[in-house]
Amino acid sequence: MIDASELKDSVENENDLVTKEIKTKSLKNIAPSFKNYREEYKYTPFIRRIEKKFSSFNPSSDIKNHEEYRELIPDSEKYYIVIVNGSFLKQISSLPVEIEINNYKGLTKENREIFNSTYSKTDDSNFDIFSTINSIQHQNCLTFRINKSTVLDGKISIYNIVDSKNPVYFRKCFHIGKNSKVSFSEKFIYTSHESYFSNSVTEIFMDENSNLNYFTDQNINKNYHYNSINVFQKKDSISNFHTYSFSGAIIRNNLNIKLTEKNCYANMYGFYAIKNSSHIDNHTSVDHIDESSISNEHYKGIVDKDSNGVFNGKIYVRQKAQKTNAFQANNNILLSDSAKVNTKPQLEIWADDVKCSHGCTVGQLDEDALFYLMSRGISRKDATSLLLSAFSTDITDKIEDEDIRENYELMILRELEELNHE
Amino acid sequence: MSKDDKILKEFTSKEYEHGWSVDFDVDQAPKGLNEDIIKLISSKKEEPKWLLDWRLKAFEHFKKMSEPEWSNLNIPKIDYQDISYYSAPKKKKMLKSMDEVDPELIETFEKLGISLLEQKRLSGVAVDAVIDSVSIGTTFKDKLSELGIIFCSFSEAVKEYPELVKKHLGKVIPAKDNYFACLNSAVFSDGSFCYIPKGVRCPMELSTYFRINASNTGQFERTLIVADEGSYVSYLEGCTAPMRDENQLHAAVVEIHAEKDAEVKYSTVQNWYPGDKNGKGGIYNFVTKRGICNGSNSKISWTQVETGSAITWKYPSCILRGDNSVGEFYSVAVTNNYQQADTGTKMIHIGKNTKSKIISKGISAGHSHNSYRGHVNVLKRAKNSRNFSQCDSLLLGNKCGAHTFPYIDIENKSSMVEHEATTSKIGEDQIFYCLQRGIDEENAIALIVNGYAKEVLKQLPMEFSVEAQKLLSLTLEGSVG
Amino acid sequence: MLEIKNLHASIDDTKILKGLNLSVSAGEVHAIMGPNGSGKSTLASVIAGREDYDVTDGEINFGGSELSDLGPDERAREGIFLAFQYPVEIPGVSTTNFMKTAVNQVREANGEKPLDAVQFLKLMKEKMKLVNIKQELLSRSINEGFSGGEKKRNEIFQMAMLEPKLAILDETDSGLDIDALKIVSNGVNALKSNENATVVVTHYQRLLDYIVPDFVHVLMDGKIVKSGDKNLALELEEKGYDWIKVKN
Repeated sequence: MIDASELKDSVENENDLVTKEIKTKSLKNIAPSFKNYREEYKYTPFIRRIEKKFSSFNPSSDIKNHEEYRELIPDSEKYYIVIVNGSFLKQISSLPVEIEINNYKGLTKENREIFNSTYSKTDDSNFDIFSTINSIQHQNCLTFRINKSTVLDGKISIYNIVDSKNPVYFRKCFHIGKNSKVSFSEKFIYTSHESYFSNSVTEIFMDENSNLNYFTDQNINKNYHYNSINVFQKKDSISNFHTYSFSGAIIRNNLNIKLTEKNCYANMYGFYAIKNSSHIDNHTSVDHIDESSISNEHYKGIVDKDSNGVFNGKIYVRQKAQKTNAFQANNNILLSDSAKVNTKPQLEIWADDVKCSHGCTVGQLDEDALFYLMSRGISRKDATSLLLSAFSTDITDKIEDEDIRENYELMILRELEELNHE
Repeated sequence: MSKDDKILKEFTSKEYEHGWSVDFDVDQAPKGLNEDIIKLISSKKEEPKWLLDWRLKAFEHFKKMSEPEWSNLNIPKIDYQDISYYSAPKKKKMLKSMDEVDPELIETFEKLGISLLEQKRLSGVAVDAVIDSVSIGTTFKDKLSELGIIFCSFSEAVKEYPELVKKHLGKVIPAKDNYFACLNSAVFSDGSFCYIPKGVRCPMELSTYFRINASNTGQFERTLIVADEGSYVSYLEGCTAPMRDENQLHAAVVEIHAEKDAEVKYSTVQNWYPGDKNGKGGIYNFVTKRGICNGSNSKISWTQVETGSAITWKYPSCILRGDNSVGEFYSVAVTNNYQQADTGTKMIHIGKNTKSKIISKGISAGHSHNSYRGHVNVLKRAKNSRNFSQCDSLLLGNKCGAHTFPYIDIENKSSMVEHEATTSKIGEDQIFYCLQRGIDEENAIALIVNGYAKEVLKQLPMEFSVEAQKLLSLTLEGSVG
Repeated sequence: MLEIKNLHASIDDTKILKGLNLSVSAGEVHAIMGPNGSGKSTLASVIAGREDYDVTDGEINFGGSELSDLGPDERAREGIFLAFQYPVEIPGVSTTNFMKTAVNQVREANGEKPLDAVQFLKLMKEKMKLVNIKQELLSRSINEGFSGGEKKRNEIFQMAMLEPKLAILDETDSGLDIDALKIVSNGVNALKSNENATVVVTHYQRLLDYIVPDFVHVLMDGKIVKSGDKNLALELEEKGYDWIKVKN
């Protein structure tokens, strides 16, 4: 299914020299990254499933009338970026002046410099076959430059629109300057209800003392989605990631954070509420390379009908990373006998002066609590809703910005109601 | 003598207490692995044809397999042709009683702290001793046979109770199960066999001591325990080997069957030679242990204290097939110097209301690596099942590593699974508290580590528990300070 | 017995003790009082040999030998006992096992034969009475899940077991109700003799109603600024530490 000649052609046809170099390197990574597939995709038969749907991994770049896409953006959005089938549509985007967003290929030599140490240098394309393919097949890398000491209130929304029967590749590179603070909220919108596939790879460089909030929500019906976010943090930086997933034939999220200097802080939160035959796979890793950093991870999920929730969290603490504090938890509620949860929290530690812990649970709604609520006159359905939403609040409570929090709380509430409805 | 010298002297002298070898008159097969060797082993044991065929079939399959690569171990290439697959102290005739055992052998076991003769007098433990590849003698046979309990060497069982062996051999761990189990199935030489009849509670601990003595040999023993309905047995296993520069291979198989209402408790204190301070020599300990709770309300409990071996690769597991059956795994694994351990368990919940509990305590020191690897699988049928796992790691020093790889796969909504893990170091305040009471650092660490492992150690039968505590302290000596 | 001269000590480059002098003889009870942060607990830790502190100048002489080269365990075997302000929890290790290891190591260091199980049990039973501590508590993991009072009683029990020459009680009264305070004090008083000495480190005068000091020293900003008899403690209680500050 991975057609070597097709991939070779993509490398051959690349005109930009730097991009061509990246593609050439990635081509060599195919074999080593494929070696990890068996273990890393133990519970997610991604290749086997999409093999049946796509004859080729070649991307599509057809774009329809821009106005059709603009209609997908709610009026309430202030700042938004529209990307269709991997191409940035500046004309219908609304950008704050503080942020420079451009295609890498369109950058001046001087501006390219800023991204050269990040672009395909910090991703997992030597580890995960889907990132490798993205590195070879993507046509544009969209660069986001946040200058130092830029503090933006509110969020910038990124609309990734998938409108193609062929695979779609999204590629982004962020450079978040020293002392700056910014929030992004990313969405993936498919124009069909099933069988589309998008592959997104993002690299984020966070300079000293920068602060990033990054939200992702995924509700893509029976479509397929691969999303790899790779973060490289310098000292005193703080990152907060929130990933919410509600439906998808297969969604695979990789979130890899490297804490390369002292006093970094990384928070990774996730919530999934899935039903029917949805399959959500969250693979995270946090790599403590230098000392005195803190990482904190909490993923919670409700798994119903024939759905499958997969979680894999890796914590690495390198020899130099003394005084590390790393925490990880994954809690699941199973609502059906045909639903499945596969979870693997994983610790790999080479430093002795550390505090690390992980915990995970798989269980069901607390029958005693349910009974207690019902004994006070609440219907079973409402009591269930109440308990399920209580289960999610640990995660949404962590959102600092009130408007953003309310937005996601409402989103989750709607999804839970639907889950409970059937 | 200064304090440092004293500690150093103590450390070097205690480095590996059981590291001597005794020159017996040994009957050893030529090196190499082929059909002829397997036929030789089988004929030496005077085995029936069905067993030889079983071995040869396993060997056919073995030739097609390759070594597993998934563990978190760095295993040097093993030359399977450079190993002698059979070695036995030469027997002049069949032994009828302990009195006829080679006195040198008895002395060997006395050095190990197991006196076979003593065991005859003391009530408490029945011992089957396996040296290199052959079972040397089993104590308390008469008393056990009064109750209908069979406890004998594996080769004896093949001759005396072929139907029982045939019925259970390879049923929990099929010959093809994995690379090392397959190798064992082809070349296993001896081991222990134990059968507890219906409704019998075995009145004493049954115990097997394993020792590799000859050089260039591997040890491939096989233990089969069958606990019939409503029976109970507690089984102990101890291991040692002499210090040698080259690595020696130990690939054992232990199978347990627990029928309805039966309970089997299997405890191991593993102290194979771990190699020297620079990682030279030591046993490669690749062991497959698995039990099946066949009937309802049955229970299998594994307890292990792993302090020895250069490399340990073992996952004592439970298949919980019977409804309401229970599986337990208690483990302390200590690694020092250049030792590597990848150990844990699998709990496969098939029956309804099945319960499992996993308590794992890893302790790494020196340049060693210690991994917990576990799999909890609750299948769709296993309604109302429960698992609780607690996997803690303790690091002494910053050149060692601790790793945790729990796989948790749940397929029904009425089951509940909890997994917790922590990694920490010994608190400086704890050490200072001990020092202030006049306890030196070595003893302070031994005390704290034993406390940390207590939940597991207390599962061991009394005599073993004391030995295990000593071993923990010995293994860690010289690792701090 | 204990002779401290011009002691300077710091932690992480912060100077805490700045030229402290103290002399304690056998048979005496000394109280060291002072406001929070004056260096009281530091002094107790430095005498016991806690390695977090750097002794930058001065000397501590105990029973004729200089302590600076000795580790905390060696000091303990010389007869120094510290009752911790915050006793440490050690999961899985019972107080009995802990004390057996300690008592026998101290005996061994002093050329005495270790106690066997029966002798040890006898000694333990005898000392348990002193602080009214129950066997059940001593079988549990040391200090784990103990109440504040139980922890402090356990400290005094250990002191009784080890029979030190010099006992330093670091804020032993903190977190104790009046009944627990009485039990603890009775234990300390019962252990007093002409051969040993006690140093009580405390913030409040309250404890000194029960353990009556021969000398009271006021520690401020890393030095002893005033010494006197037990009346000094009463005066301090009444007028507060500011009174001394003003006078200086």
